[in-house]
Amino acid sequence: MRVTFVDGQMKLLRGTQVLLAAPGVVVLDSDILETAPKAYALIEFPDGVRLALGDETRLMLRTLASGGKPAMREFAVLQGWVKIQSPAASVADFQLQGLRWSIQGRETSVIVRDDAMLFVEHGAVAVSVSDLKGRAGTPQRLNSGRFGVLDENRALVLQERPAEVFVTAMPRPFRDPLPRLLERFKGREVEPRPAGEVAYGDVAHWLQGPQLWRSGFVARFRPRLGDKAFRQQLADNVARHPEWDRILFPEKYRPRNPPARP
Amino acid sequence: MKLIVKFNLVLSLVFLVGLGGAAYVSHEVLQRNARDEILQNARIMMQGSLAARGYTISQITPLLQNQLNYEFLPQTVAAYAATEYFNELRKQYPDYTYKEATLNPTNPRDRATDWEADIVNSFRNTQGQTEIMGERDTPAGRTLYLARPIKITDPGCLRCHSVPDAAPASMLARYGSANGFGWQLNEIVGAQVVSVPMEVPIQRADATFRVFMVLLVALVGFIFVLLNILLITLVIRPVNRLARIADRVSLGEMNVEEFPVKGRDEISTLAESFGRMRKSLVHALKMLES
Repeated sequence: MRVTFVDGQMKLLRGTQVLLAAPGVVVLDSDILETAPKAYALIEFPDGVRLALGDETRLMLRTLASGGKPAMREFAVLQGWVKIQSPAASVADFQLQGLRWSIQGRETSVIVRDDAMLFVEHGAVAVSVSDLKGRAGTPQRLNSGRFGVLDENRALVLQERPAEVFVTAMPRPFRDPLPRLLERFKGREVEPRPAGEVAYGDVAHWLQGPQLWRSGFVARFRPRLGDKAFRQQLADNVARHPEWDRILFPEKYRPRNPPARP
Repeated sequence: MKLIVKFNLVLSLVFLVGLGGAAYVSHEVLQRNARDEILQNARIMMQGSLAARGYTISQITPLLQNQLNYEFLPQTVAAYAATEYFNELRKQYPDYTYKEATLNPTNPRDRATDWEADIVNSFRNTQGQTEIMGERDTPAGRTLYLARPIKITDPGCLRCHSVPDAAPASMLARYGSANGFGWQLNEIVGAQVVSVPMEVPIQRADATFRVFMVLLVALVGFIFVLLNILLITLVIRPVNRLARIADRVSLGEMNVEEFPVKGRDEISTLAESFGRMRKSLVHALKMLES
């Protein structure tokens, strides 16, 4: 899959590196994508699935393959605007994972804002709202044309058409079908521009995000412990990501010597 | 009555009849041409509007279809496109009008006025009628109107015009659910009406007619004068002179001057004959005297 369009700036966090995305750059599993204010970007998969990111959007790509089941593309959406257009030819279901809900579908086009509002342009999706303990609720099916709002009580309120506040705030390019641009980059190699190693501030939102999303982050960002500032900020916020405590303060977890026998 | 008077009377009568006939025929032809030009303008305007409709349906509407989920875009409607295209044209030519006059429109601006409703009903009640044209007086002057029926032949149209439940929610939000529904397939719901001003082409035809008639009258006048000059010069004066000579010979003046014979026309032949007759007379008188 590749980035096929960028208007403005989009950072790509790969491993411990910060890269600046450009059209044609290959996107890998576990990449974190973050768009700048007023930016807009498109990601396209070989099977025709297109993903659009609005401004100030944070999204991580994961592909889950659990126990022989068909792989599912998971997009962890921390914040912002996402539109996914999945054609009939797509090879896998997708799952947009938000902080409070999970949206699954295939052969559909859906727009999501944070984890508060969604609109099904066409096709159908299944929405599971998680409870306060993170347990997924019973999936609700939303068909074409339905608009859903997740209120403060985690109740999904459905409406016949998108709310005006949603339409007004939605990135303008989301109103049109997402274009197919992948062919332009066939046979081309485009390297992203390096912009240094990740700082704590670059990944703080993710390190402090849902626990399920943080799996693998210790191994991923451990090499950054050599950076004093990173380590210090990690330590200062360890309560928000307690899995780092063992790494930062291993001495706390060493087995104690038994007391000497008299 | 003198020959020239008779000649001029007959000539005047012929010219008057000819001028009258020419005036009538030329006026009719010019007026018909003017009306044909007006009608051709109307047809071109109508085709332009139809082209705008076709372009919208084939190229614009598919591109904007997805946006209808969020906002009703009248630009996706062929009738709106045709009307707006014409409104742009009217900025330069304000006396031309185009309207998709509809009995039950979604957009109130398209509602048919009384005379437009009559046209629409005529189309609805007369099978196979494809065009109606006529003239009417407007504040801008006399206009010619050309109307063609709007018939629902594309089932796709009924998405927005059958029942409110089938119409895009964004369209209902903009126009409501009270108007523009209940249309049926193959129903004539309205008429495309183009109105073009008649004044300019008619005035141009009248001006052309006046110029033509002035030139024709001038030509006739010139011919009239020329013919009189020729008659006087070539016939009347020589005949009068010959008559005077004959009078003097008849009074015994045998020595009066000979009439000069020039050319070989009829006057010359007459003069020659008169000369021979005079010589014969003189010879006869001499024989009598001897």
